[in-house]
Amino acid sequence: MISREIGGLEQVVNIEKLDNGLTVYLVPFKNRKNYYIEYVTKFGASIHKFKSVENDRVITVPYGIAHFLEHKMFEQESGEDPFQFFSKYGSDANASTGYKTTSYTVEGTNHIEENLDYLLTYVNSPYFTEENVEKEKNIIIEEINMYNDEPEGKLYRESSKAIFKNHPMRVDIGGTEKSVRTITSNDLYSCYNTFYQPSNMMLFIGGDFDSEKVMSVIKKNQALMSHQYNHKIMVKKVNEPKDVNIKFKELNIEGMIIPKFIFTIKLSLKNIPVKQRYRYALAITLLYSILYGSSSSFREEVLNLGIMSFFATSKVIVDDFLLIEFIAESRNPKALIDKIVEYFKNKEITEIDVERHKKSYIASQVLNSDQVVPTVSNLVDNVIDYGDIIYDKLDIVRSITLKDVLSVKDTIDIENSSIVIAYPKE
Amino acid sequence: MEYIKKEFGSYNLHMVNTDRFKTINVEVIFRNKIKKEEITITNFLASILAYTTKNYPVKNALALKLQDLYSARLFPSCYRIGKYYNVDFNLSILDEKYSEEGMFEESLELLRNVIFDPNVDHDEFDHTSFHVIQNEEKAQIERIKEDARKYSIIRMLQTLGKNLEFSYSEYGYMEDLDKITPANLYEFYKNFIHNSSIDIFVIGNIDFNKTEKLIREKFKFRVFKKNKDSIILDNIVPRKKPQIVFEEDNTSQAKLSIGCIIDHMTKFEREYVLNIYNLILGATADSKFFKNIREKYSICYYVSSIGNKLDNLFIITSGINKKNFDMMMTLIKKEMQDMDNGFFSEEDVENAKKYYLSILEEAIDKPGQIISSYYAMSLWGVDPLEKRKEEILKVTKDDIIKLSKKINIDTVFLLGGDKN
Repeated sequence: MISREIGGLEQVVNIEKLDNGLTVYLVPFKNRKNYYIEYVTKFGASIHKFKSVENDRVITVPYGIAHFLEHKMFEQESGEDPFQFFSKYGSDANASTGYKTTSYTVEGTNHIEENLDYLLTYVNSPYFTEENVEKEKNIIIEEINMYNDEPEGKLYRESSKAIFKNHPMRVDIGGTEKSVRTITSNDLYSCYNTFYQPSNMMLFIGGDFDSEKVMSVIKKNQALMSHQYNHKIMVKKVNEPKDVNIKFKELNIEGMIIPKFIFTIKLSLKNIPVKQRYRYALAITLLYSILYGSSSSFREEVLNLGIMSFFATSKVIVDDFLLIEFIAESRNPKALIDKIVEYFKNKEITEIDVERHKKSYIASQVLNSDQVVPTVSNLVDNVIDYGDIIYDKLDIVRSITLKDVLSVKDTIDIENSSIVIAYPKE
Repeated sequence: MEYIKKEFGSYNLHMVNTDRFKTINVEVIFRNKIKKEEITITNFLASILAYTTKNYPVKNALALKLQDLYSARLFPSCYRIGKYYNVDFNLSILDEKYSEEGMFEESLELLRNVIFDPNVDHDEFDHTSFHVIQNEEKAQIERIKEDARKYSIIRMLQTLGKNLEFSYSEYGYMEDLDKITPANLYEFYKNFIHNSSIDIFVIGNIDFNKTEKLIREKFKFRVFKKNKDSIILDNIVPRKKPQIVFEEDNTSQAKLSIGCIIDHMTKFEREYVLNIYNLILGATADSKFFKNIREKYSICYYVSSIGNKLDNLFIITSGINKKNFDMMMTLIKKEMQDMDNGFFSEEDVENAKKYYLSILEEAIDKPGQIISSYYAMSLWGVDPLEKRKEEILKVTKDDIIKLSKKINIDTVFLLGGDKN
């Protein structure tokens, strides 16, 4: 086991790679009653074509399968309900599917060893039958219907289709009613056997616990340790152009009361080595918080003009792309979009801005490191997005200069963006 | 963890000393009897106070100041608690160990500015700030309809008890918003600052004497009135036969909201039995609703319940296909009937208790929850955390059956699901 510290946050991470390929990250906390376990596979909704380890053939699976698989992991051959097991100790179990990962989590205050053992057992014991797969379809379709009815959900979907031409992010994580109807238990096993191998998974445990005991539970878990095979995973890369699919689109959405839009800039990361991506992404975060954050003159101006009632910026990394998103609510969307572009093109950025936002960024990192769940989630994201935990992240922040921010700004082509505006339906 | 409460006449100061966090959290809570027509103006006031102040007269200035205080977070929140409407100003800052000396005092000074030095000129709030907040409040009121699940609950509560406190919308009302002016908002502020019941909480690695001195220096409230009324709503007379209301909406999934009245709970039932009842029936993925309705019949993605102990209400929500409405009602009623009849095991009771104990244990991991817990103790006599852990164990199956018989469906509201 190797032990590393995240500089400046007084946070240690202990890492061990097991013989069967699983990587375990222990994140010890003092002074916390709760613990949080996240068992993650690098399999999410954006994988759709891959070489199945069952027969070495490239197969295409229906959209929404990662999410369907997540639902079905809770089905056990013994008939035991995992939720019931975890609730015995008053703990909270959950699971979630994203585009890049699927996670199985447990949060509790006691019996960490029993819960961990059970989590490893149930996620390593698939039991899919034609019958139990059929039964799940209606539940999932109700879930899809729920999201389909949400006006903002529709806007997101349209926006993804405008950004991407071929990427599976064009389709919702849950898939469509049609794709879900076609899923079979064989499809589920192909995905499971390929992507739920220990070497494609990670186990994170945060909280105040006895590391030795926890490691011994992991190493003694039969279901996990007998899961030995170590096939190379081959995912068919989607050929996604660097340009956005549609630059501008307006539509009317039922149930929407105030117009909203998503403005996304699409950046290719192809020329940036994975190791440098954290620094690059960080400079982008500083850039948009300087230009559009709560203390920016942009905010002040658009609020005073009365053309904004909600505004948020975020960045998403997916495969070799980084998306900068502006999500806003406005009674005059076009005027607000013009302002976003105007500030990007004309607003001067100073040394003082950069230093102030660096200090504030560091402070927010310390704030976020005070709780178990956000700390662990952040580490998971690091590993997924940048291939490893960023141990020197505070030093990286400190090292960024005005020049760095400006040169990163130069790499951004604001014209390579998609704008989708949604108006109420009459 | 050490707690002390000091009563200063105009307000109560609560201090919690603990080294569990990297932050210091301060909450100033203003409490007033809820009046429907004052919700909108109260929300407006809270937002404008935190938007600009006399010394930080433009939004930028205040936001930059917060950034310079090492990303201090300062935000208002408004919410109903039983018969009262509260405004909290929440301040969260880094412990000086992670920032620099003097930051705590400077942050408190900023909070003082927000509360005592509003951006007012000639007895009127600053017009620029006023229009910004007006836009935001308007959007907030209009936006509720975009969230069908929330909207369906609000409509159900309005149908259940039109003039009762729980039917009021915490987002405010358009007709009240139209009446607010920079001048009458200032009048309202003066009254608010002098007539609210006030509690101040400070939690973190703090020195009690120093903190008390700082707070007394900065927060010179002169409150004339005391709110002594009970927090808990009066008991409602249940309808003889439940009312069922459908409202059309062009959505694929219908949002079902069911309001049940709980008839005359005892204190023990309110604080303990209700939690256990709710956990067994519908609060978790191990509940009867989840296992027996979602998993067995596959007719919904979610069906869950929540107990509103201060309102004497029990609420059930689900998203269904409209054609399954009758079936869903039958299934829900059967589960509730089973609770009445004691068709649940001792193991269910034990698991629910463990779950609740785990929630109590975790409460001390978050500063906000520690504050809520002491606030509830001080306000309506909730037992201290340690005592709650003992009391919850005393809940028996018979207690749950007895409470179950007091819970009856009053109003069923189904919104939308009309898209074929």
